[in-house]
Amino acid sequence: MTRRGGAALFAAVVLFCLLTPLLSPHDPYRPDLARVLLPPSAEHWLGTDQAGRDLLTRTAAAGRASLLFALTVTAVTTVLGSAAGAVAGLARGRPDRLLGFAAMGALAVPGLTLALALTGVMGAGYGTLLAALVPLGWVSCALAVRTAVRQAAAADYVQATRSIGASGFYLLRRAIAPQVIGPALTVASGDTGRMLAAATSLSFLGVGPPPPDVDWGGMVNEAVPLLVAAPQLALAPALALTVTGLAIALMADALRGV
Amino acid sequence: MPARPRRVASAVSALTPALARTARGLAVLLVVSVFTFLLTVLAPGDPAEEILRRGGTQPTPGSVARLRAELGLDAPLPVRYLRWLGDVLRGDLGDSYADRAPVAAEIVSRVPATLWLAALASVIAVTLAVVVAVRTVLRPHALDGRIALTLIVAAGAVPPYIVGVLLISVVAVGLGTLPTGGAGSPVAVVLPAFTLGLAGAATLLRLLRADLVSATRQPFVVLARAKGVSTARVVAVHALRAAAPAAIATASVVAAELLAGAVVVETLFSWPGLGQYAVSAIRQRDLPVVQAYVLLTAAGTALLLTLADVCAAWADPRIRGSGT
Repeated sequence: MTRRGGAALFAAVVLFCLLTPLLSPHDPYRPDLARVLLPPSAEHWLGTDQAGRDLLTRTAAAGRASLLFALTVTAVTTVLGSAAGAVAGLARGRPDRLLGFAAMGALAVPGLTLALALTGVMGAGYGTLLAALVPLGWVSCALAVRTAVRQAAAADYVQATRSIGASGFYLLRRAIAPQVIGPALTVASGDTGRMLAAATSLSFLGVGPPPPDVDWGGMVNEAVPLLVAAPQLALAPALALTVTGLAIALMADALRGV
Repeated sequence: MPARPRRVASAVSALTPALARTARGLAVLLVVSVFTFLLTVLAPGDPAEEILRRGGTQPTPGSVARLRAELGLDAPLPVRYLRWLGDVLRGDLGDSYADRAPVAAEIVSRVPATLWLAALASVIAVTLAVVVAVRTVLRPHALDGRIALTLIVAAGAVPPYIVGVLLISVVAVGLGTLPTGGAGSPVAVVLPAFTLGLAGAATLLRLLRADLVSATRQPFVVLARAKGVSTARVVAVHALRAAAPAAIATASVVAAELLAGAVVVETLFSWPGLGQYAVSAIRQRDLPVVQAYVLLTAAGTALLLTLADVCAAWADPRIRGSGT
């Protein structure tokens, strides 16, 4: 039930983010200074923001950017992490120690520190965000895949396949990969949530995607000075992100079998 | 059997892993220091030109060359790295590009605010996690425990600044009771500390609960129960103690996360700590400040993780008593 709940909630968020900008008559990016901070009405369901943009449309457009980016980064880290983990798990020895040391180094610089450092050096932008978040994300997947590959490689049926003369690549593709995809996907689902949090945190700090692009963190960043006067401006993206975060956490838990 | 050599041997065997871990921590720090040093080298643009431009003068080839010589930028990279490392070890973190003021002095003046915030957040995180974990393991169906559990887990599913925004809208705007920014009054720390503490509590709670449940199934806990020790005492004393080492290891990771999360929370609440300094430096691409921030965070993390190893050994009688 929880599994369906998380997936259904996530699907609802995705539909909201994709469909609203298409169906809405308003432009999420173009300021309209004649309609600043309007209260909710039939035309603007959530009212307008400090630049006269429709809050509902803008929240959906920002969600599209947030989700697209989080999923892209997770796809990259999952592929890189799986490759590194598979090599380390199969080859053992030096590649394995190298992975261990790289993972330890990546964990020694916690959370957003590395991302912030790279942004400080390279300036804000999509390239920087990608370069900043990939080092943060690949470790969890690499370690999970390494463990899964080791376990699978030690299994009797893999030994049997090896004993009839199967090549390393055949072993990896036919015998080991099916055992590894599950753990990799589980980690990836959790990583999507972490990447969503990390990327929007950077935008919140003002070093996210360059304007006019905006994600949920960027919307909160714009809304903070008006937090007391117009709390709905921050609450709309904050609640959207909360629902998305919960949906992803529920899905990850369901995959993990909690 | 003579007692003394055995005691010495056990002290040595207890120290060896600690030394090995310290050595490994130092190796990681060395790698981090190289990386941090390379940040300025990899950065586009010439530091000397950058400083001159920010100082308000148009850089000429002559003035750039003079400043480069003064900053020692013409020396080969390894020499520059060793010089920089020597300066850092002596407490000189360089001068900010923005106002040419020493970075170390500014950091020292801001450390107390961040430490105070992080300490309070840790206390909140540990208290919340322990109380809710014990309560929900003792009484799985009690409504208050389940509500607290749900709220804390939900807080862990979203980034801290979102928790902060929600807290501000409910507590400060809705109830009009607490200040939302700055460090003007003593209670100003409450909201940022709770924001930061909730994020930590979520991670800690999840692990502590799993450990507690498995600990309550251990033979010595079953024995204590069979002796007639009350359920509350069994969970709160025996099981919690057995679950402590894993929780301490997690707590250090959580504390390191708090250190990093402080950046976001300090910015949201305009808390005058290290994180705020780092974020404004990052926006202006003030490299010496960014460098110092990365180095300090990594060093702090390494220190925390090493400390946690020692504490975990102390908290678990099974580890502490080994060899005697």
